[in-house]
Amino acid sequence: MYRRSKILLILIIVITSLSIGITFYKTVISHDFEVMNVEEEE
Amino acid sequence: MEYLYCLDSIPNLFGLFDATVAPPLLYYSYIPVVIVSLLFGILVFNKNTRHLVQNRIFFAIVVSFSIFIINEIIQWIAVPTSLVHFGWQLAPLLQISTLLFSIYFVSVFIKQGDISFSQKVFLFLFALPVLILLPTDLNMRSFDLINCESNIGPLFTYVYTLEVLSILFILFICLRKYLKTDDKVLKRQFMFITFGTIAFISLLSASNIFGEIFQTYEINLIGPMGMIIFLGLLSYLIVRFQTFNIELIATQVLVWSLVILIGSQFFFIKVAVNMVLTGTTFIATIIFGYFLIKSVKKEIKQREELAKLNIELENLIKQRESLVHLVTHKVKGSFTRSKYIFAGILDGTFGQISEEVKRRAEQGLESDNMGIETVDLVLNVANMAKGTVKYEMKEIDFRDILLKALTEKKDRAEAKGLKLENDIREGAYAILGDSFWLKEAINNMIENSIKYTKEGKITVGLQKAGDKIKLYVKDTGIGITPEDKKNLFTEGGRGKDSVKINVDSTGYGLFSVKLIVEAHKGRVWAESEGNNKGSTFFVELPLLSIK
Repeated sequence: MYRRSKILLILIIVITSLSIGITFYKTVISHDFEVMNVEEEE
Repeated sequence: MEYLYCLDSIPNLFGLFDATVAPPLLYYSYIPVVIVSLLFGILVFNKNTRHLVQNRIFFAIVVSFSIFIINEIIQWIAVPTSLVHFGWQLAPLLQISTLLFSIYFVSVFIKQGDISFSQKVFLFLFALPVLILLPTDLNMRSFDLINCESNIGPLFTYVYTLEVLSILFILFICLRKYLKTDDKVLKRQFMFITFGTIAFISLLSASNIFGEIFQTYEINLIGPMGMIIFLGLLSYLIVRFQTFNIELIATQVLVWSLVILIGSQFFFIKVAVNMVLTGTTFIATIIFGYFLIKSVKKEIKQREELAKLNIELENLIKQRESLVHLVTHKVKGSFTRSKYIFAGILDGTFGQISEEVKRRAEQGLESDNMGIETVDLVLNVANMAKGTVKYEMKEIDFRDILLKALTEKKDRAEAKGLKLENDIREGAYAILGDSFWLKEAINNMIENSIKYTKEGKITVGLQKAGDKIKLYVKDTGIGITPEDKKNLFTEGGRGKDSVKINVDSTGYGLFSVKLIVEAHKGRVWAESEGNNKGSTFFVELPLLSIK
């Protein structure tokens, strides 16, 4: 039981890190998101 | 892509943040709550060695909640659009993790142990859509530059729905367990944990949902207050139902919360005088807190030492009790065997004996009888003190018992050249009591007077005094000094010179009288004018009220 829980925990950590990592790369590094109302800035 | 900044802010902090755009309440409501929660979580995690799973999950809630709050602060004050957008993207993950850890915590609390592997997988499955969809447009559709906020996608609807369902689920499992449990203490614990968790999740979810609906994110500032309710109830639970060093945790949390709350005021202070005043209060709180924590630590240490000593003492008493029983049984066995040998010699079982042998055998028999009486006395007292003696309480006439005891002791007194006088008044002396043990008490009182009276007389009297009966045994013996009076009715308590008069004195006779009388809701005391002026022993017992 303990071993299976440990594997699940590692899996959760890996998936969460991947998910956050991809989001960070996509948004903060690549700026890959749509920005609205940009025209009104000018 | 062009690097964009939010329009209403200037990056004046690390080139990424503008601390002035956020409402001051943000710092006052968010930062202290995060620090107090983290502090509490770390203290519980480190100090409370019981309920390990529970502690870990609580710690996970606190960490998840704290990251959520820090992320909220970043969303408020970050200037680059990418950073603000990233903060918005993380929000559903942090919300759902706080939520799922809270459900896990309540489940563990209710089950009083870890949940099964399949239940853990089941909980994880609810988080999976959020993890998968986190970088996609289904999480955040786009970024609104004018308002400096992201436009939420359908994933948020999923998170909000799950939040509402979770509150209902927690209510359901707690209520079910509450109704099934008979234990009042557990019921109260469930009540507190349910209320605390629901207050926490509800305030957090409601502030997020309504903030989103009304597009007024100041509402979000109320959210973290639920954590304070949760922490408060949790602290109460720990203090009330668990004891491990928790006063220390509570004191530390209290002191540091005060320090943080006072410290957070520095964010708003503009006037120099106020700065000085707050600074003084801040330093005074730290000093006061340090000494408070130190004194609590000292008290806990003393209490732990006392508890340890108490356990050792209890063990010693138990060992002594079993030793007394073992020794007395063995001694009584030896006395009894030798008593039958002397009795056999006296009744001619071993043939004709000379006068000298007969005299010695009679002495031996008397000595054995006294020995058996002493052992019985010690054994009885040990049982009475331990509470293993069962009194058969029924309506009895105390006068009858006293007359019987008096008849039995008459020969013994006369053999010593003492006169045993009777001052028992006529009448009915109905009391509720055990005739065997009361007779034992009377015998011990008369025997005590015989032993400590060299010459003269012993008067035994009985009379009614209101709704009580009063027995007295008055002798012309050695008397009692005020010094000896204090130890008279205590275990092994003897007068200073009592052994000179009575070599067989055990100090258990009058103690047994006290135990028996007190078991009959009566009281016992002695009066004496001093050395060689005789003594009077009194016993007062309640008369049986006739309804």
